Amino acid sequence: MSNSNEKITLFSNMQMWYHKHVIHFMMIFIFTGLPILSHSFSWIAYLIGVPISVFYSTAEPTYVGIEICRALHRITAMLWIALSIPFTFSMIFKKWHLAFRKRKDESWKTYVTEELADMKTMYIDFSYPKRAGKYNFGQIAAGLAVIVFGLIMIISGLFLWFRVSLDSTTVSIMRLLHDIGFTVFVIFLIIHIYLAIHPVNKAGYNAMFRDGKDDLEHAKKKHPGMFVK
Amino acid sequence: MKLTRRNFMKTSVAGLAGAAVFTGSPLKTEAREITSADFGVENKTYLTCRMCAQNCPMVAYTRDGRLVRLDANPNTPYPSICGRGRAATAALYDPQRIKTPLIRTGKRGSGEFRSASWNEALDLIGNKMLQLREEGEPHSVAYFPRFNSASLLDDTIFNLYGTDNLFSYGDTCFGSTNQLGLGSVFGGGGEEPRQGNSSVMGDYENAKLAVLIGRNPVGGLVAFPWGGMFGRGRKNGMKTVLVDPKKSLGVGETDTEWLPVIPGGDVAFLVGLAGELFKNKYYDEEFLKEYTNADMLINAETLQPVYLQEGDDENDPDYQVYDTATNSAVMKSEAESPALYGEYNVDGVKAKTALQMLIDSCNAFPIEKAAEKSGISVEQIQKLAKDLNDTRPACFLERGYRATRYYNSLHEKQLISVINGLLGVYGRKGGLIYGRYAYLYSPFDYSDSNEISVNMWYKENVEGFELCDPYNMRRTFPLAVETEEPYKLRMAFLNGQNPVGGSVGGHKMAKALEKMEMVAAISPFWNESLLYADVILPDTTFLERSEPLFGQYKATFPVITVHDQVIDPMFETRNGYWIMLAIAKRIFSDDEYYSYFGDFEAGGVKYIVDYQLENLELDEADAAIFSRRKLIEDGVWCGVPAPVKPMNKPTPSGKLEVYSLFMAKWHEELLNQGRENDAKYFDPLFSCPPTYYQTLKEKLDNDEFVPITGFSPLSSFTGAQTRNNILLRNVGAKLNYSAVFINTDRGNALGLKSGDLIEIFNIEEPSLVVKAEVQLSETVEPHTLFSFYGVGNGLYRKLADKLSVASPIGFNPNHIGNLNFMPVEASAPSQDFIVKIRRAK
Amino acid sequence: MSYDKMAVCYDTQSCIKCFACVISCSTENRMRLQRDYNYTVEKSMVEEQPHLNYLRVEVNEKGKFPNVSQIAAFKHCQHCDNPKCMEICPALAISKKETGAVVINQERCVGCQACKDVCPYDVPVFSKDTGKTYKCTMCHDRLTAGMQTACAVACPSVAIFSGKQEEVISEARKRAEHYSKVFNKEYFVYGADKVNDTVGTLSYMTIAPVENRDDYLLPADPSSGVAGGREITKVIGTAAIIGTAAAVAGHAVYSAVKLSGKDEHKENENE
Repeated sequence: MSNSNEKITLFSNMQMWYHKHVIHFMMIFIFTGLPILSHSFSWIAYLIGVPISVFYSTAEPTYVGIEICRALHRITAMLWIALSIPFTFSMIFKKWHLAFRKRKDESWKTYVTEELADMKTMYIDFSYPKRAGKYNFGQIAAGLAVIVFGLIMIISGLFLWFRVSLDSTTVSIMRLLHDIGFTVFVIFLIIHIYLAIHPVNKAGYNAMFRDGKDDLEHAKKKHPGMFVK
Repeated sequence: MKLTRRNFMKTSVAGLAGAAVFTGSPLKTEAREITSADFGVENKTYLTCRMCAQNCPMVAYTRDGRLVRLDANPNTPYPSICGRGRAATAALYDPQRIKTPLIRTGKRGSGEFRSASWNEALDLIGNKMLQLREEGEPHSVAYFPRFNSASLLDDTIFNLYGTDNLFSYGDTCFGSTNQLGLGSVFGGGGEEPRQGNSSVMGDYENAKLAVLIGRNPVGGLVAFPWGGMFGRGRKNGMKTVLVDPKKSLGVGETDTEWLPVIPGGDVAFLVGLAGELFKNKYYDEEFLKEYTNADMLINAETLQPVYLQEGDDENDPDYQVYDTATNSAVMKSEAESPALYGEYNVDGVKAKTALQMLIDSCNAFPIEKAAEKSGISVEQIQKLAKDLNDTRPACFLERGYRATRYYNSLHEKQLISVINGLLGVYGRKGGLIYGRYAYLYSPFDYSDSNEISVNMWYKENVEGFELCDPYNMRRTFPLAVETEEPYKLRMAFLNGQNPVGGSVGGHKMAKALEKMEMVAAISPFWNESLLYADVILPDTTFLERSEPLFGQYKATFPVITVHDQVIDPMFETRNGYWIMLAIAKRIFSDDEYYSYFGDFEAGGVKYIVDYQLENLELDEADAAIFSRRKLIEDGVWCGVPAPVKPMNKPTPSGKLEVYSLFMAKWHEELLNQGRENDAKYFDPLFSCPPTYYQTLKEKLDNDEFVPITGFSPLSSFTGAQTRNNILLRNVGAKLNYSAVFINTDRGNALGLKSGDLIEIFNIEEPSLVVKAEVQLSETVEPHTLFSFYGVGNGLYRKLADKLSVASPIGFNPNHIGNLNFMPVEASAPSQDFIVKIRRAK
Repeated sequence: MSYDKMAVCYDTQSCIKCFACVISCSTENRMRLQRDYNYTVEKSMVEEQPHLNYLRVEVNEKGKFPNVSQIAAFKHCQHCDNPKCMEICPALAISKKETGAVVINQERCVGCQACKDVCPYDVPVFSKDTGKTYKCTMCHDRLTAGMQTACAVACPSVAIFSGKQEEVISEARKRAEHYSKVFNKEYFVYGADKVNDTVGTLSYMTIAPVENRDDYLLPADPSSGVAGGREITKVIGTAAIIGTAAAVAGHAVYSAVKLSGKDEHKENENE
């Protein structure tokens, strides 16, 4: 079949820019957060701390490393929040219905069963789905999780930043939420990164990182639900 | 899959996550290594503590010339210093210490002073004293010593200068009340039987039951040795019963019964208790027969002994008893079996045995009445009587220390001593044991040719002061200043004493100071009395000076301690000896000065110590184990425990006087003078004379309370060494120790809650208002407004700038109390008035 | 040098609440500032520094006048055999020494207060001034120098005593037995036997009446509260992450096999 070369835009410039920065932020968050999470990762703090503590006569490398991790974690948090504000604004005006395709007359059971079937089709059979929209069911669920747990991380993180002025129980609960959120994020990232670089997603990968576009014909096959009125 | 950057990242992340989770951390946990050599660099000095006035043996550690630690001297059987002693480092380094001599610039009481040189300040004082001496009135100088750093020398200087007007703090504490209350029962020799504070103590270690009445052995000082003895007693399983308007910490928590007594209702409780002891024969008949005057025949009308033959150098005293063997009244020395009970007719005189008199007086006072007047239930009194019986003689009623609270405190102490006699605990293991101490003499001269002192004149001439202790009284000062009798007092010299804060009626003390031509003061710290001074000289704390040997300890064995200087004097302070000599140089002629003080000036403290050791009187057993070298090496020497015996001093009858002849004599004397009201307080029998406040008002209003104080273990007197001490406040603030405590229900009824600010005033002095924080507590008896002694600044808010660690508010009842005097013995009824409270605006 | 296992015991019965121990600990810590950091005592002895008071007292009233009991509970580090604080400290600042002391190395402490979260006895105290967390060190430096702990040496009534572990336990049991007899109720030595699996035995024990254990803050089953929930999260979370990674690896292998057998399958290839 002939290559029509007509493109549709899957991701706006804003989305691509934000996504690239978020990748860097997440790497820093994980790297700098692990030493404070558990002493199993104190070697990370140690590695960072050793060169810096050369400038202090009596400081312990681990201590210096954790202080630096803390500072970087907080700076990154500020940057992430700063970038998320314009991003959130832009997202509010998007066409969410392109993703969420439950028809008004169908039951939840039908919707979920068919969407799950579509996911199997895509990822197990490696063929085209019947009704999935811009995002399949799993991607919608993951996206919602990122939004919810992202907010949880930000709010609990801010509480933890100012923990010296708060009572112990509140701080302990915030830490618990931050831990849970972190776990969810890591699980999400493993799956997300894997599927992002999976051959089945080559077009999506190119769209996100190159020009934001995909061939219209391909998109119609891949995301039929996007084109249903 | 292509090996993209993302692939690599993914693999790495998963790989690292996995790896790190499974491997342990390669780093070690570590704490700083400390070697024992660190402790070898400290220097050790022996001294005695002065955070209160008990001189507990201490050892100080310095490191690089700085005081880093204070511990108890371990070379005694009870190494004990309390939290206050340990916090002395904060007193030493307190930046609010008085650093230079000060001369007043503002009005008296304003607290405005300027720094001056030592010479300028000393000249002011010296010139004034010289002027008074030249005018022939050296006796117009009133001297107030207490925590003073020139012991033995200071009294001497004032005496040789020409004044015997030494106004001591004693009437606030034990003065007359404890001395006579105890002495009236177990003697003291002479016309006025006085027992000292070290005379008798509970044998806590062997006791099974201790009744703590008006005493808190933890906060209430004497860490060495009473604190140590008390603690060991608890370790050995001693039970405690607390008779107190406030349930204090430290006397037991899960095993202590609290008998919440109405302030001043202790006598009613004691009468009720004695009644129960008599009713159930819970007393020791054998002990009474052998050691007491229970068998003495007493004239039932006059309350005097039917016949008493006083003792002399040759003979013991003797008295008439009723011999049941011959059915006749004979002298005890001739009797075969003297009766303990019964009423007899002796030559037409209706007579009873002393014990019978006591029993009958209790019967006139039913236990229900005792319960009502004391606030302690019938069941509790009955249970205590039984428990005392079950444990005797290993039990006692604590003799207390500070006695003078209400008009009836003297009678209270007497009844306590009588009941201890009934229980037969004197000189018994686990009961009350006598103390003894080493006598140390002063090398200095003494002149007895001075004008009569104000206190002695009052004793000899003023009604109401007949039984005062002229050497332990200061509240005559405002009286003397006002009446100018026997002569005008013109100058006050305060040496480590705070009469305004420490004596009840302090506001009158302040007024009297204002009338002085000059007020000079020596003190390392600020207090309310200093606000009225004209010249202030800063002396050192006890850590920055040496002192002579000290021996006035409250133990059953003699103790002598050494006191060496630990730190060089800080700021521009000087030790008391230097100050006193500097003044002496200005008020004596050269000849006088060198004749009196030349040797001391040359030899210093060592001169005194040498004299003390040369003239040390020890009995054989102690002398055998005394060694000067060991005293210096150990910092302390302890002698042999006293043999346990039932009496330590002579009495008129030669026995323990459960029926006090001293009291009987004064009772009669006062009745003869038509002083019935006063006679009530000198009853040899069981009765309930009222407190002053009970005569003022029969029932308190809703917002009225009786102000009670007690020591917190984190504060001592009104001195700033504890009041302005941040180490102590760190802990005390958590206990809210600067608040006043009232009963929860009473507080609720007034619409108050814990943390509210209230105003307090004496209903007889409504213009003097004190602010404090109130705390509602279930551990306070409803009539009571309790405050820890010496914590806040009270009425003298000007101190807030000078003592910024101390609570700026807080209540000291002394500030606003009445200048009343105990009937006849003239000590200070410090809790015997009524205060009203209201929410602060 | 190696050191014996030591212990400290606090006897609620003979304690006279004089607070000498509290002050002694407070001053000893200020001496340590001079010894270790040249921060001299004329400064530190007159400063608040409340975190240097490792020993705290909490007074509670129970009941109504006049049947009121007033109990002063002594709050101090128990020096657990199984210190939760040591397990959680991310800076590896806490260690259990040979003597039994559980010590925070202040130079490593980053002030995260994880130890405070996880301590079942609410012991560590954070200082806003220094940004670090502090707790009793069982006077590890004094014990290794052959001295008693600062609290033990201060007690006038020998209610706190320290020394070799067997000797301390033996004396403590003797006292508990004696009190049980005299006061007719059971006294126990909290910490001499294993308290629970969470903390194990304790090196700083307490003698108290069993029926008042809660008043004296001696719980039968100490737990880490919310922080315990975090521990569980970490375990479950790690398992979940490993599970996810395994599933992903499995899918990768499956994809490789399936897709290589379908190499005619065209995705974005041009033809």
